[in-house]
Amino acid sequence: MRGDEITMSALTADQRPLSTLPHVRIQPARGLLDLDLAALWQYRELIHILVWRDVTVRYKQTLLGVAWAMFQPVATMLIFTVVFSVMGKIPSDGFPYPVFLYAGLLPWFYVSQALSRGGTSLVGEAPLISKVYFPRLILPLSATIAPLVDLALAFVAFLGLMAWFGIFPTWRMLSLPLFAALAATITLAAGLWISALYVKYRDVGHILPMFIQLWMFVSPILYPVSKVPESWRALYAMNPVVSVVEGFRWALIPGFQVDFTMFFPSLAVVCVVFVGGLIYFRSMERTFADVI
Amino acid sequence: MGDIAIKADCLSKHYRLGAASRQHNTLRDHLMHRLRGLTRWGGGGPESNPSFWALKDISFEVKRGEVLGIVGHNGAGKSTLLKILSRITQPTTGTADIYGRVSSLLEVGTGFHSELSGRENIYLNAAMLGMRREEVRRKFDEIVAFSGVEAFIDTPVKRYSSGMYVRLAFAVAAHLEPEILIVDEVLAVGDASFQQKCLGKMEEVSRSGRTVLIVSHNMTVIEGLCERAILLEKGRVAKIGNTHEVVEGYADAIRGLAGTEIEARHDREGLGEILLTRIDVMDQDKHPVAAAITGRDVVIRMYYRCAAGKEFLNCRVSISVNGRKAQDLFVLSTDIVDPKPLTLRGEGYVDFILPELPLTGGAYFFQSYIESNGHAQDWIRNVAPFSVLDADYYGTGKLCPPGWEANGVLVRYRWEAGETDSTDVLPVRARVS
Repeated sequence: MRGDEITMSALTADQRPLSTLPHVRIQPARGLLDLDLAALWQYRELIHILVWRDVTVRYKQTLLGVAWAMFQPVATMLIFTVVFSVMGKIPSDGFPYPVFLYAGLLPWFYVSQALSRGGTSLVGEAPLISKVYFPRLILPLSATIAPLVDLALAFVAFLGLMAWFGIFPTWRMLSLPLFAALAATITLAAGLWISALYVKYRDVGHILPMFIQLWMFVSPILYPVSKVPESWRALYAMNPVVSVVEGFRWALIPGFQVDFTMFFPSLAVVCVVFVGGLIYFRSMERTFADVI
Repeated sequence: MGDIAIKADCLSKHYRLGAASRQHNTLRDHLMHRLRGLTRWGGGGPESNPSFWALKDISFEVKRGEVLGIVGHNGAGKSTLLKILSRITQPTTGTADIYGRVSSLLEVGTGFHSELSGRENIYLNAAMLGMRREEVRRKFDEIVAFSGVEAFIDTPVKRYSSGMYVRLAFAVAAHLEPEILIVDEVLAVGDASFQQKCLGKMEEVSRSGRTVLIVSHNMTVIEGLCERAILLEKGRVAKIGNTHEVVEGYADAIRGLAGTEIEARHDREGLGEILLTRIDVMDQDKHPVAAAITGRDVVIRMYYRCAAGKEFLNCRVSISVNGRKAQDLFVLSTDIVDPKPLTLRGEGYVDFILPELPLTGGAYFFQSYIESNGHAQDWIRNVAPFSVLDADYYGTGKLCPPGWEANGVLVRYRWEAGETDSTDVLPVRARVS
């Protein structure tokens, strides 16, 4: 009898944590859009550590370290100013060209960097994908977040530039995080497509740099929107980076005028690309480990 | 359902054949394929992508706290099964229910970044294996101590020796505390003493009541750790149950496979420009024999055939002998004993001349390996059986003790005895030449 009692109690003690054990059912995926946000949340520490890794590794074993994040856009700004403003006489809606240009380069540097890192995030981490489980969405997501650090540093350099030109910031600057978030959403949306396509088609590796360069020229970074012919504006506004760049300039340059109606087509495009990207990514995700 | 940790129900995984080489990895291939598909559409050509089932209807249950071994040949589906259970890839059909937190160790040092220091990599790797930061912080000192790389913990791992790298990586993995641990042959790395340490850790894990799934080619490890095992053959469960019976089944299967003509073998790995075509076991006069004899000289002849018109520089031909439990006993390799360059062309053979065969009687297996310029050309596990007839190795009229048949090697030795409490030691000597 005693023996029975002991086993009984041992059994229940042993089984108590069972109810709290996580249960996972592995089965062929079905359904178009099963986001599994819970899994993303569960792996938030991994997102955090990947972002931290990307930032750390980028400036390891460099003399200037994080100063590169400021030096790069500043140097680009100087060169472009000489080429496009001094020699090319490109107008800047009456604002000092360096300020005008830098306010556009700021989000563009972020977009181009996040795009090339996000686009290659899956193929670049092929060993991880074939050896360990985590929600794959984490890779393009953290690749999109990491360059935000560089954006913040480049922004500090912009403050210096404003001081140089004696421009005083306005309350509009507070809206900057909003436009930065828009930039991140756009890049993530594109990054989802590109990274998933890259897994299947290695051509993407060749196309991507060209694509990024082209995108820069169809965005109002070197020139003002006012230089785009009136009849082309509607089509032009479909490019979501237009909204981001205009938003950045509006927030950073006092007195900068923006036609906010241009934002609607952009936002619509972002929504479609983003949702489409999520669906495509999730449907491809099932075969990543087999194909990569 | 209370005491079940894993329940697999009819798991199957389907691959298109030649997935690696025939995949449309470039847009052009894809378009070309589409185009060809279109032209064939009218004619109704044959199915262009033959497919196969890497796994077919796998069903089993693992109880909580059980250590289950998975054995089988290369390509039997072991890794695919582990990948499905670790959620890396999805099954084509079937389901598996998993109760508890899973950590899978399909590789040592997953996600290690060479630029980061040992300390940073511990956090990174742990996060990838699903460990919470808080947990890592708590166990940090323990992990570092286990790895034995304390002095270099703030050095980038790119400056580590490969041994240090592996030790650090395993130390992280060893401190995972999941309810279910999935391990794929990771013990094949590191030096012997570290392997021993790892095995000890695995035993500790299984004793602490956690569920472990382990894949290994090493039957000694499987028999030592698991109560139950599964034998996979061509994607199906060939045998499931008591480890000893399953290991016997595996050994039988190996014997069956090793009996087939080497020319007809398809379970080869490597580039395949040089192929092993035959293995002959011969006596000292180079006459082929059915079995070698313990203590006598033996010649092992490996015939090869090279791709026509090609010459292969810096070749290495090697053969290793595996014992009853598929454990590696010793290896014969052209580069070790005589490091002169070996160039192979056309057809030919390499003879390994072994004086006084130091093996007990029993059934052994060969494993063959050929490489050129550091590239694996042809690697076949269990390529042929190797029978040895027991004989009096030491010339004392005694044979090896029971249990040692095809298990371990014979070495030359002598022994001495002495008495420590006597001041006038008169050693008793026994000498075996």
